[in-house]
Amino acid sequence: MRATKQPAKAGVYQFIVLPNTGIQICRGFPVTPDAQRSIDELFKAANRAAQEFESHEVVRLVREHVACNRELEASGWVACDTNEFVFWRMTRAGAEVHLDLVVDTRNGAGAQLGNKIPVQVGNGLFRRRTRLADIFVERHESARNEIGTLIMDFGNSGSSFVFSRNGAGPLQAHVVQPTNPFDPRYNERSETERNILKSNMIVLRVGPRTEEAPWIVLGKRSEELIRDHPLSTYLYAPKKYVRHWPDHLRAPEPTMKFRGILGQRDGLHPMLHFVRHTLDEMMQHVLASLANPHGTSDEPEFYPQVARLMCTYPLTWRESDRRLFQEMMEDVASRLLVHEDHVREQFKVELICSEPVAVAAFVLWETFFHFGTKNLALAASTLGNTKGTNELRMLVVDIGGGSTDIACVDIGWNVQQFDDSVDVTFKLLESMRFNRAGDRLSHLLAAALREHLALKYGLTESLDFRIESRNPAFTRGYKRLAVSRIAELAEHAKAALSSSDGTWTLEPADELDLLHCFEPLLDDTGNAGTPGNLEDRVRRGPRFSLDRATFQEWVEHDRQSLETNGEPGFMDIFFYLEELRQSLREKNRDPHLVVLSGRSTRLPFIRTMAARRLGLPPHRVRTLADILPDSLKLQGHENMDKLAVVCGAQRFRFGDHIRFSALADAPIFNRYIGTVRETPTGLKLNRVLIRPGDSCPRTIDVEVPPARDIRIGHAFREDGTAQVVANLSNHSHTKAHKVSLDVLDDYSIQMPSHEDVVCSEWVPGGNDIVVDNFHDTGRIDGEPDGFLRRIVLKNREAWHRDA
Amino acid sequence: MIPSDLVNTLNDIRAAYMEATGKLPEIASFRSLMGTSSTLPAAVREILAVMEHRHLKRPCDGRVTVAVIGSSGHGKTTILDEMFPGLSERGWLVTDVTDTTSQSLRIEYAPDGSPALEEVEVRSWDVEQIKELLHLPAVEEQNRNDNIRVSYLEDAVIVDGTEARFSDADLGQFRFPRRLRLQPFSEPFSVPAERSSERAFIRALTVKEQSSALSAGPVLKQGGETYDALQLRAVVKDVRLRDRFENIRRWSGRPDEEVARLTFVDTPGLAVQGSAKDEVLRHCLEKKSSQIALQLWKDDELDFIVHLVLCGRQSDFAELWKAIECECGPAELADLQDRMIVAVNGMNIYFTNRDLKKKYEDPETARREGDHFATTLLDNVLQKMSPRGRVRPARVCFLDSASIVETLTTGQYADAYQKYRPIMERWLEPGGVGHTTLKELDLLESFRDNVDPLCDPEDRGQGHLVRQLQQVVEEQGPALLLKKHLCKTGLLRGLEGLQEILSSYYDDEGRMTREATQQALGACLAFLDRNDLDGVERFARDHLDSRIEEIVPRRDPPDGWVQESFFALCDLIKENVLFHGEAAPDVQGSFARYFDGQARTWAQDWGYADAQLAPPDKGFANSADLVTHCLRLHARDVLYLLLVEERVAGVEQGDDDREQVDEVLRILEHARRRAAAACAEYGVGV
Repeated sequence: MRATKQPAKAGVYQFIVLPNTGIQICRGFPVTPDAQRSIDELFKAANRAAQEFESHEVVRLVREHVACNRELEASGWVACDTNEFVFWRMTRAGAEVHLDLVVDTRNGAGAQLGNKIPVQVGNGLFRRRTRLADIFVERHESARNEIGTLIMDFGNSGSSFVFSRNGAGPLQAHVVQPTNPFDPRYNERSETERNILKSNMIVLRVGPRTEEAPWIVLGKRSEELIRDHPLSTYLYAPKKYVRHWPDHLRAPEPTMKFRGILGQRDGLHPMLHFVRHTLDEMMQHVLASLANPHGTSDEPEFYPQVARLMCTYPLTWRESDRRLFQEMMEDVASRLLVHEDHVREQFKVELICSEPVAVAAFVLWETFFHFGTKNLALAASTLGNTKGTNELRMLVVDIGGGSTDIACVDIGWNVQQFDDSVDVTFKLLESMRFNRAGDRLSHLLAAALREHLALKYGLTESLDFRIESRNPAFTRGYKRLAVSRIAELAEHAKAALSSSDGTWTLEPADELDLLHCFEPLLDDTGNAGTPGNLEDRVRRGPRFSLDRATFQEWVEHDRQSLETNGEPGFMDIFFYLEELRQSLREKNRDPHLVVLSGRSTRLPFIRTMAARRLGLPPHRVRTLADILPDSLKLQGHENMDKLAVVCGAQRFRFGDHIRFSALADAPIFNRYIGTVRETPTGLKLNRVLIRPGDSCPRTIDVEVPPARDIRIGHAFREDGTAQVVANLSNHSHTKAHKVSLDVLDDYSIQMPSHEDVVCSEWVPGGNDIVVDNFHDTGRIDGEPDGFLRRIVLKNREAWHRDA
Repeated sequence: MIPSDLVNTLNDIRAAYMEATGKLPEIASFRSLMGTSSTLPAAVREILAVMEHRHLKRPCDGRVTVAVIGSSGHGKTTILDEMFPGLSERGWLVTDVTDTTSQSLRIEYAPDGSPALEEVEVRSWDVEQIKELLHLPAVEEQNRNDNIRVSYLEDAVIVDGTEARFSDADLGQFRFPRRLRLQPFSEPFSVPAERSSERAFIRALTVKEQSSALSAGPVLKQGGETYDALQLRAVVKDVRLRDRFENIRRWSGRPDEEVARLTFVDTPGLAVQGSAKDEVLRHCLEKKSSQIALQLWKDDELDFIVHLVLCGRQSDFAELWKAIECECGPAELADLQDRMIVAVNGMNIYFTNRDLKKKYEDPETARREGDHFATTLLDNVLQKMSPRGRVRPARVCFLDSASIVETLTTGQYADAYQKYRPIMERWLEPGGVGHTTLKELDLLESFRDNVDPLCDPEDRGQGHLVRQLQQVVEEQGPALLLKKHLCKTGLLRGLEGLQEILSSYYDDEGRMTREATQQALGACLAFLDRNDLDGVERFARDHLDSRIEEIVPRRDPPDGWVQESFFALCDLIKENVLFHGEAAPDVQGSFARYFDGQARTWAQDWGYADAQLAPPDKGFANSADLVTHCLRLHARDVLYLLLVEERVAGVEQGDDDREQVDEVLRILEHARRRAAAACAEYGVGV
């Protein structure tokens, strides 16, 4: 749409937006008074205008999804132009009318600098148009600019951001509360949900043209939409798909269709493209919410000039994955961020530290800050160093949604006497990653819920989206709904089990709600074979009621075995901790303190189990909530198990008088590394190729027979349990090959490309990027089939009980 | 320069430590403890590992190294050539080409006529250091881009460029094999006397010749391996030479034995660019210079640093500074400024460079752009040397080279400086251009002292640099040696650690105390199970937590309130343990004595004794909450430590054994006291 040539009516108000700041919303925008028209007339005119767009599909999308209050008396939505993405509606409260304005600042008119878009309404018979407001697309440099650093923790389940303007101290930087433009329930969201943006995404609208940015919904709202629109493209935990696929491994790279709730784009698209769209959208959310934090500002409060973008990363990522992510963020920044020349020159995307190191920095900074530089011995002793030395060994166990990162960090500090500042150094002593984490716990709960339905109602139909149902009426849509509902209930169960109650019961109403997802499988008698009224049947029992002890038993049975083909379960994290403890003890490097982070660590038995396996008393194993007394906790502390990463990264870089620096790892191996074989007691090393203390990197030769796979693994002890770190697969059926592998550290292996042998790095817990991510596939309990079912049935009587 | 007494003290402490650790295995009771304890062997292993430190493997000789560090093209070799004319004559300081190899020259003293003067030793990096160079991220990336494959073997690194993507023009210049094995020397290579002055040999080691003038054949053979010039460029770490120090001795005016304690290290230039002459090693050799300096630092071989910067050029030292911070942490660099001299080379440039001359000849330019010192010294050097802001070196010296001055002016050095002297003297006058900056940098007196030597053709400021260096060594050397040999080696920590270990099993006279303590602890803590550490939490929660709340004063706390609160906590714990333990009164007495002793140690180690927390009613509203938090955690720590206090069973002790322990304890205590006294005398914080 072109800028209007009509002169602006005197007194017409402007909603001023900046390009590339996402979907900008201004709720309650004042309508310019018009002496010639009454409020009623205006409102009627707005309603008439809206009728024209009743069936306009984009307007319908806006009506259903945009973050505006549905409770208000309001006209329908109007598009300023049918080809553009600028919308308005009129609301009436008492004797006043206001406008809700919505502008897409990435596409169309809202992205064109200097554009003035009239918001006007026609007048019945003669179509005289009344100008209600203007939307003006202003240059970024005209707004107040704040130069600063954006820090981002891109999480599997949730992401968080801190904007730290230049010169701001560690406490002045604030956690960004990303506003979600497509969330009609925006005013019901709690403070927690605002601080942490759920990372799930669903495509709301996509056009056929690649240059047009799709509308993506993130956050809690995306979960709700995924449930209701299973045929649209969506991703749970997009971070899992951040993976570098070298050219020779491109074939297995996952792809997806690109379909929105409205519209679609031709063909298949790599998953990574959707991760890019997610990151794009996140950045838009951040920019939009900094410029217009409450969706009510009629001008940008400021434009954040991001001079530096700092991101944390999980230990799970290989060097190539880290590089890929950095490039993706550079790409996002180049498209969305506007810089003055001198800022552009300095701009860089920096992967500042790993997530566990960020957590360690957070713990240390908070503690040192409150104790003060003169009391660091006291501070250190509360963190477990009872020797009075300037050092601390902190073991961070970060149990996220998709992966568990474990890092033992050796921390040293030195106080500069002349200014009381503290130089803190971090050195990674040990680290480990598992693709088993909070999702695994959800998966166990989901398997149990599934089993409950099977036992009680005979509902045994697979929910795998790829498998055609025996009953054609039980479509993929039903399956999607059922999986979403089960996932939601599993999350409720986890939350309840983490609370002081320690039990969770599937309420009859929830059970009934869940059953509705299986409607086609239930005959009108309420069961897939059993007569009786459905509600009665639900009430009659047996009931699903779970306590912590029962849940803990499940976790304890979830371990590596022949049945799992050597893949570890959640319990193997604790077995690993036990081995780690022995290894550290032999080196006289016992951790002083264990810090548990990640939401799953709210389950009390995680702490107990970690303490026992590490041979430590419970007070030396702390969640982030236990680090400081309540009166010293800062704003947002109730979510620190999630925010510690982003806040820690911010402290790591902008710690004021507490300066952090990470020292290079010692260039030696800490584990035995070799080929791996199955044994009845789990995976063991077969041929040891590298020993602890050997200098790294190291090139080793491995013989791979034809049509065989050879696994490379590591272990703390020569005869200890091994974890697989790489798999070599010889695709030739006739030729054996001797290949050279570069072992870079305890878990990073590289091999130059080879005509027949493919080397894939492996992460304990499985390399499949959808490990435990049944949301995207519907495959509950499929690794291997029935493994989790057998676990939960071991103590069935404890949770599947008569009412 | 370094007092002999100090060197003796360091060696005595080292010897005492060796003696004490050597005697321990001879003590029967200690052997038994080692056999039954689960933690002692690891702790003792760590103590014994201290002697593995390279600086403790042989006695301290009181030598200090002076590293000359500067960027490529800043005239470092020219200056050294004039400072060490003997080496120059032998051809080891190459000044006719700029494309030199990256290794350091260690120049040590040998008296006139000594056969040692002819000794030359070539040392290589070890395999880890070679790997580290090839494994640098930038090197790896460039090698990957060029398809140069690197294999890291146990004893060597293979660099294979046979499949590499090089331009045909480059390939046409290649003289060396494209697959190279980089293996360290099995031992230092002593250069045979007949080759130590052989021009071809020296140039093969020190210069990257044009391919047309190059021999790709073996240069030396060592440990059965032959090395060509390209391999040597990668593996050689340094060349050790001896020199008579004739100029150094003359300039310093000190006895020979003092000067003999200085070792000069000529390090390769910083900010070196890659060279196509390095063929398949081009990427790694580009980084070798800075890696050498970093390795010297990591090996603690950079005692004093002369940072040489050519007048008008910028310092590149920050690159090294950042690398050291990244490897060793910022604390490592805490005292670097005190041990550093900035040497501004090419004083003549102030008088020959038109732009610089304008700065002092036109006061308006100086006012607008800063005077010549503000530009050349403050902006270009002191503010560029460190990523953490302006550096304040121990000294700043200005010097020059006769050969350069005489080439530039086509006259005598003395004549040139006769003209420069009055200009320099004007800078020193109040109101003179440059005076303000010199004053601001506290360099007025120092520069005044520098003028005469600069104008002296026999000194050229180089002698002044040597004298300043001696002063700095005198001021900082003793503290440096103490830190280097006592602290950084871990010797002092080892001494104290060993004392601590022994004191937890023996009393001050060497008598075993463990058994009585163990019995008392076992009896009094019988209500806790050491295999069930959750019991600690339960006991603290049920019996201590509510009363801890009452311990901490919230209003008008007395001085020392934090420590008093801790002792009140200890009383509370003791009372509860005795109450629940129900041990016999004499056992309770033993427990109480042990506990009280421990409480005093804990108060010290856990920071209560020195706590400086503002009281809750005077400035820090939450300090009472913080102290309560500490007490809660420490209550659990006290119970935990008492509970897991190591149990060792059945260790008998005779009189001989007690005497042996007593002797070891005395040796350690004597050594520790001497160490503490030396540190106190020279202001070294421990």
